[in-house]
Amino acid sequence: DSKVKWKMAATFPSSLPQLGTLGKRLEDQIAKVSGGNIEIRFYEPNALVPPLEVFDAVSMGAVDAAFSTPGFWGGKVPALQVFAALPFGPAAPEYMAWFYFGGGKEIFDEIYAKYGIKSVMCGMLAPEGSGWFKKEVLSVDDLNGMKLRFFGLGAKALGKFGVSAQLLAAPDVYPALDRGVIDGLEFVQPAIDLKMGFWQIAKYYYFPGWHQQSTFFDLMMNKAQWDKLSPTQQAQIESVCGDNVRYGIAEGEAIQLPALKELQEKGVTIKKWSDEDLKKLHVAVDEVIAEQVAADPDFARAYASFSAFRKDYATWKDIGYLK
Amino acid sequence: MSLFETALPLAMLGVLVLVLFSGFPVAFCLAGVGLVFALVGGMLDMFVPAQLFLIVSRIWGSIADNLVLVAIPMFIFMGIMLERSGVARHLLEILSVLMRRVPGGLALSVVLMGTIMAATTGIVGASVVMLALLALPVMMERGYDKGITAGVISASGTLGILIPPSIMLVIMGDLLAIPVGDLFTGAVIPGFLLSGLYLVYIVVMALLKPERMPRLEKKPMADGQSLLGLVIRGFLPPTALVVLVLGSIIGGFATPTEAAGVGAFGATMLAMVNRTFSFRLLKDVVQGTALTNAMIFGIFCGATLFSYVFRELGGDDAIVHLIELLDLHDWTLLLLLMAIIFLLGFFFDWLEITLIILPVFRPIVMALDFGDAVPKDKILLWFAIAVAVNLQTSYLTPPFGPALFYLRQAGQGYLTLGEIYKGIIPFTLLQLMGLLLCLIFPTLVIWLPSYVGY
Amino acid sequence: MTFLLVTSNVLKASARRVGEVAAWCVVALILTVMLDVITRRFIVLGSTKLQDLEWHLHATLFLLCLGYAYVEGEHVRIDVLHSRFGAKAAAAIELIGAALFLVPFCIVVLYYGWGFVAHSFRLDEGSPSLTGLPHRWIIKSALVIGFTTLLLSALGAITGALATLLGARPPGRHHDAHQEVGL
Ligand code: NA
Ligand code: NA
Repeated sequence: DSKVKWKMAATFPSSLPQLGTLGKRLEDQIAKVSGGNIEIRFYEPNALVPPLEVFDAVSMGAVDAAFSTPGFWGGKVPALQVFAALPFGPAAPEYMAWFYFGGGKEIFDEIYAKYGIKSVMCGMLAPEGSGWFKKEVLSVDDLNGMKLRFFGLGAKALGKFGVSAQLLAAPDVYPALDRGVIDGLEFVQPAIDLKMGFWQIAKYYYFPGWHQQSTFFDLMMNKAQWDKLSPTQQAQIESVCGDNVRYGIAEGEAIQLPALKELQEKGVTIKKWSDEDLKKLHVAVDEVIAEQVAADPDFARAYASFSAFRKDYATWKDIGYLK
Repeated sequence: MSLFETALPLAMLGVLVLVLFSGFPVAFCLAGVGLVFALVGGMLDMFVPAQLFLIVSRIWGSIADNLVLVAIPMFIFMGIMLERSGVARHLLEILSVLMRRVPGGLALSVVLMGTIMAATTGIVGASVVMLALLALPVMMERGYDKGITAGVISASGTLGILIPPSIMLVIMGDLLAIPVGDLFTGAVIPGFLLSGLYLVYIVVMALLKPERMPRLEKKPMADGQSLLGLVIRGFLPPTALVVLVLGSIIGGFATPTEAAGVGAFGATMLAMVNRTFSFRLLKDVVQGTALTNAMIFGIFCGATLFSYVFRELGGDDAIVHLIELLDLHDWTLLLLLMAIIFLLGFFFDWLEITLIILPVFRPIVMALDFGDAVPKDKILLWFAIAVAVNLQTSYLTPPFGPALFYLRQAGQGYLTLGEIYKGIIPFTLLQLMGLLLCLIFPTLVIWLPSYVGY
Repeated sequence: MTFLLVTSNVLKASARRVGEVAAWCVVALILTVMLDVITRRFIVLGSTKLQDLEWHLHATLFLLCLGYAYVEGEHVRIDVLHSRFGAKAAAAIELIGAALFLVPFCIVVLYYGWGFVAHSFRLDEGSPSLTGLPHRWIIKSALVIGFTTLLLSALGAITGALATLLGARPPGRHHDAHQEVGL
């Protein structure tokens, strides 16, 4: 097979646990597995492409590949959000079961193919935290009038509780939280949030991350480049990515508790939403999803496939697993 | 890497310097040289046309779709509005009267203004243009030496990138996985140290060569004007504006970026209070803002193209390769890294330099050992701030110091670029002195973050 | 030669007009920021939309004024040597620079920018934050319009420089070029 030398644009820096390190791991592993025949070089965000521009760049063939999450493309291809993380969505085993065996992958491939992209799931994150708050939030009704930095489907759902979602420039987030322009924000998960230093200002960290249980990361590749690979090379990439999903889940589950302990030592209070609050949020999320389903046929199709699978799976989950 | 592969990107730098001296606009020289080398790369099979799409991605994704840079036009608007409406003139007149017994009083006030502005924005283009608009005409009128004037304005205007909040520190935090709060507090003492060095230098120069910073001989007051009247007229309005801008940030009403808008709005209100506001004035300010703003963003567009092609042709690899080849340890490696960042600063902006240096050297620097000088867990923080000080300097180094260009354009008719180049040299040396102090005394960086308790 | 001069002036004038109008975006920008800052405390107006609007105005402002700034001689030059050149030498540099550097730059951005905008139009792309502004292709068109005016100003500079080289009265130094054209 002819040697492959690709450039891969990342959407998170290599220094960030999981978000970046999983991409870096892909670079290392593919070189080893292929005996050096495939080189996929990791480029930091902005080094070649600004993070939110990688979809177009891969689609146009300006870079060969990008390490990202389908959740970034809600503004371009709303349906792809179904393949990143769903509010009140599944844990990793259920999500993978649907994706690999429940019809998810076929829809996923079909959607990306429209844009000249071949994508392979290539990482998975543990559940996220549901936000950092400066003041204790007693119930979701307390959120009314709060200014939060929040993103995506979750932001839309919180809007129904009177939350004002803020965009804010990256360097402004820290001073804005410090001075009270915003009352809180959502980022990722304990191990990553620890590095970002939000604990320096906000002392209440809420769980569970109802808006994002498990999150898929994917390797987007320019379809023309992918088609040029030999079957062996394609299998090598798919295998390494499959292994990256396994690695992401295992690592993600393992690194949270040490991080949580460190956060608690730094004076952070860990809080949990009550069941009642979660129910209210769930209702809001269902409304948001219904709006998305009505607005976009691809979203509707992908979500229908997932919902159908979930309904059947519930029976198995109920009898198969200990409570 | 072959010698040729190393030489090609380096040739880009050489050609750029030559082309820049033709006098064709800097923004388009950067773009043009980038495209010429993309073509060369294409002929050598190092570049395919589809990659040119990324020029559009980069102009869009990091310059247009960017909520931080929104502050630039608003700060320029504020500066021009204050200048055209006479508010700035009143302020500087009263400052020079009040400080007429202090050697170099006017220059000192500019440094203080720059330091205050640094707390509101991290955007060099905005603060240099604003300081130039406010202070340049008055300093020239008062007979200040051109070199000193140029140096004071551009150096004070770049403090914003170091003194928090700063976009540069946030990006560095991401690339190095250091909490932003640590970087923000770590940069405070070095930032004020630099500001202090400028102040000391000005006082010393004013004492040694008084003719370069002449003191005000007589009070510039017309008959019947009282000092109190002048203070109220000249001092109060701008002070109110500073309180408004800083207050909106501290009070939690506005983000630092939004504070630029609050300032621009406030400056317009001041012009109205001053009774100098008219539609004609507004139109003047709007057109002036648009032109200066387009000049700054023109450079951003050209520079992003140039550094992209440099990277695609393996420029980063050549630099990293060079450093790794030397196989140095600890202090020598650190000094070499600093020297390389300093040299890169002649050609690239901070974002491109951090992208070359930080990801690659993060693991290497973390493994270094500086004994008792720096605790192991603080090395990365200390390194990051030293890099930040170094990068601030890159705004000031000729020939390609963006701060110098902004000053040149905002101060049309007062200063030539040659005069600016000459004037900036002592300040570049002060910057290097500040950097050396941070390296020799790591406490300057790591004490405050530990004290604050992170 | 009169033809060259007239063409040059028309091209430059069109770039200038676009810039003069777009310049007012800064006022809209300041008002948008004030609106967001003031209302944020009291009502939920949708800050994400306002903050999207802020950078939309910023993008329009700088992109549509690139050509305007070139016509007005506002793009900074390293004029250490330039100021010693004669009018014809300066015109030759302008001609070569514009033809070799600036025109290709505009063409590259326009060619790929067209695909960029068309892609966004086909997707009817919206804000990735979902709560932001829809129809991204509208704001993305500013890229194409902006670089078109920059191209017009470059062609204006080329025809102007040609005229100078052919012996027309040399226009003044760049910073007072607009007084010469007298628009
Ligand atoms: Na700052
Ligand atoms: Na420089």
